[in-house]
Amino acid sequence: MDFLVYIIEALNHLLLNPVNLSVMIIGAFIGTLSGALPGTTSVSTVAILLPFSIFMPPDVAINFLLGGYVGEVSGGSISAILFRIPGSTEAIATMFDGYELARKGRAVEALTLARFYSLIGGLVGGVLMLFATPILAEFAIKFGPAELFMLIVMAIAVLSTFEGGFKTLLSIFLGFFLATIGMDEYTGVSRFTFGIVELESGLHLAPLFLGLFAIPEAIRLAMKPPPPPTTTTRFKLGGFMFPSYSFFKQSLPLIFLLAIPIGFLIGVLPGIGATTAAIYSYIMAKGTSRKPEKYGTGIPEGVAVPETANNAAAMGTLVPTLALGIPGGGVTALLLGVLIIHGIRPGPLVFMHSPLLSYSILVGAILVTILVWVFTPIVIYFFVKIFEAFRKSIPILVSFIILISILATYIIRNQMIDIWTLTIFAILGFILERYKFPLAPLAIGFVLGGGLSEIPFRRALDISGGDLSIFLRSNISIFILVITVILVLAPRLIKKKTAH
Amino acid sequence: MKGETIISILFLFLAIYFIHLTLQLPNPPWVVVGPHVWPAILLIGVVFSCIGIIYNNIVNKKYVIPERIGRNELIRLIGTLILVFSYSALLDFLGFFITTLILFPIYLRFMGVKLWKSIIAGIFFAIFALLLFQVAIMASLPRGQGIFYYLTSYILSIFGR
Repeated sequence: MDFLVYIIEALNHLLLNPVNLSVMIIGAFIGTLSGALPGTTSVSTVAILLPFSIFMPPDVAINFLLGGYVGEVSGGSISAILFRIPGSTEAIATMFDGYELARKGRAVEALTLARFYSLIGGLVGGVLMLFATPILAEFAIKFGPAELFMLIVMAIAVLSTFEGGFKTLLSIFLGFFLATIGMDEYTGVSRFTFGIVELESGLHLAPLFLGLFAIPEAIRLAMKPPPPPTTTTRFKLGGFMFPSYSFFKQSLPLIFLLAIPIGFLIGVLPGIGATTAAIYSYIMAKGTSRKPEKYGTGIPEGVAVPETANNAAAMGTLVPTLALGIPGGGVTALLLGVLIIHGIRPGPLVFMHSPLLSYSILVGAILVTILVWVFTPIVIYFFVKIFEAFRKSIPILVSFIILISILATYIIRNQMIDIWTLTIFAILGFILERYKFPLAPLAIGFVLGGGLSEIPFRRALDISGGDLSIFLRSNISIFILVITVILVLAPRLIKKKTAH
Repeated sequence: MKGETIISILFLFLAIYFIHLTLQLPNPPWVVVGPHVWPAILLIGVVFSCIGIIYNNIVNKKYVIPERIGRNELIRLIGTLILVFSYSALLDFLGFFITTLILFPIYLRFMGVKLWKSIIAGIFFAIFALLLFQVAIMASLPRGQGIFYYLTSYILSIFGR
């Protein structure tokens, strides 16, 4: 029962100290605002906040940075829903249905869902992290390259069952292939760079996504401007609180049996992160849905699932960082750095040597999630006002989307090649969408490609000396394979049964 | 020939060309799986998918007929594409501030927005981009070359950057 005492002490330490609380509030607010602004990433936000955290005590510094991270993950959905420009990569999956809901005049509903399910994901993920960190850390290290690759196989298999047939398959393969451009991480060999030095580090997510989604949408709006809105988005600061009770009740199995477990466990696995968690849970939700064709057309589940998963994953990433000293990604590497700067060495003994500090970080992560939920309406208010103003003049909205997309692309790596990549993908996206080639599988393939699929595949085969049976040697791999077979076959069997 | 058949044939040829490129990649002896294997698997997938689409188009007569683009829509489409291209092309030379200030009013006027509104919107966008990216996020945007570099730097210095 010692840990309960530490949790209460941590709560006292964080809530009753006005300095600690204020620092968390500032971090959460900056993070949410930065999340809503296109062109920022969770790593860049945390990196900007980092110099200010050096002079704080370690737990307060970590919670300040966590405020930035959780805010970025949650805030990214705002511009994804309103402008089809994801504010952060974690909001990519939210954009697929969130923007469609906004197009149907249900922007407030989409924003409310994003905000509410971010809270649910963060809170449940936080509680799981609080009570199961040591067990989960052990689970994470059982995932070798073969198991990681089997997870990707499962994603490809489920993606290929989506409507669209060969067009979907083409999109998936193209997405995965685009991720191979650049220097091969494994051998240092340049692939498909045609001597362009800037391509050595590969294509970046931002030009690909903004090119495929934001600019084609701007072009479509310019070609066929929708009629001016007859109603304005009604806005009250407290108006983005809860989704309808009936939807909440209906979403419970999806959230608790799918989004949270997938999001949190992917977060726990080192090197994957919240973006993949959101996309993966979206694929699985669509794959297991009775009406998969509805996903992508603007359904509330399409917002609720990825938002829950990415926030649960954000919490999950803290598990290997704290319990094993292995950072799961860029943000957690920065957090780890802060702890080391303060003379704390995270690892299996950190809960024994610095229990109050460890629990303050875990409890702080949950508090920060609540603070982000509190501050999101202010940021939403600002963005809805811009959205409403631009809706009245479509050419100005189109110009805004193009301007933000191009400049946000540039600032990520300061390379003109990214802007040309964006332009090429804008044309490609526009043409492919006209002929109903699904773009979401292409985008998903790109995220899951490269380091997440090829490297585990090659590493596993290197370990086994080229023996393919390595992919089915462990119980985890076999379990993933069985789930894959069920997910691929079940929709067909259900369809056949209902047809009879 | 239908549009999606043409797209699939283009992707098919591109995939074959890239398969040819993968076969030229060096294969370091210290790895079991070389850098060509994974892209080759994916490209074979692209070839397989393209053949499937072409087969569906030609044999099964399954294809999408996209909505016709009217004359006005075509003009707006070309105008918007010119904006994207010219903005991308001029950004490095003129710098973000001057490019925004020049191109967006022209585009907005072309789209039928009143002249004074277009000019104000252009100024607003340029200042908005400056404040958002240069001041708030502290990112670096292209300042242009030659005289445009000094001009943009002078404007930025007014805002403390």
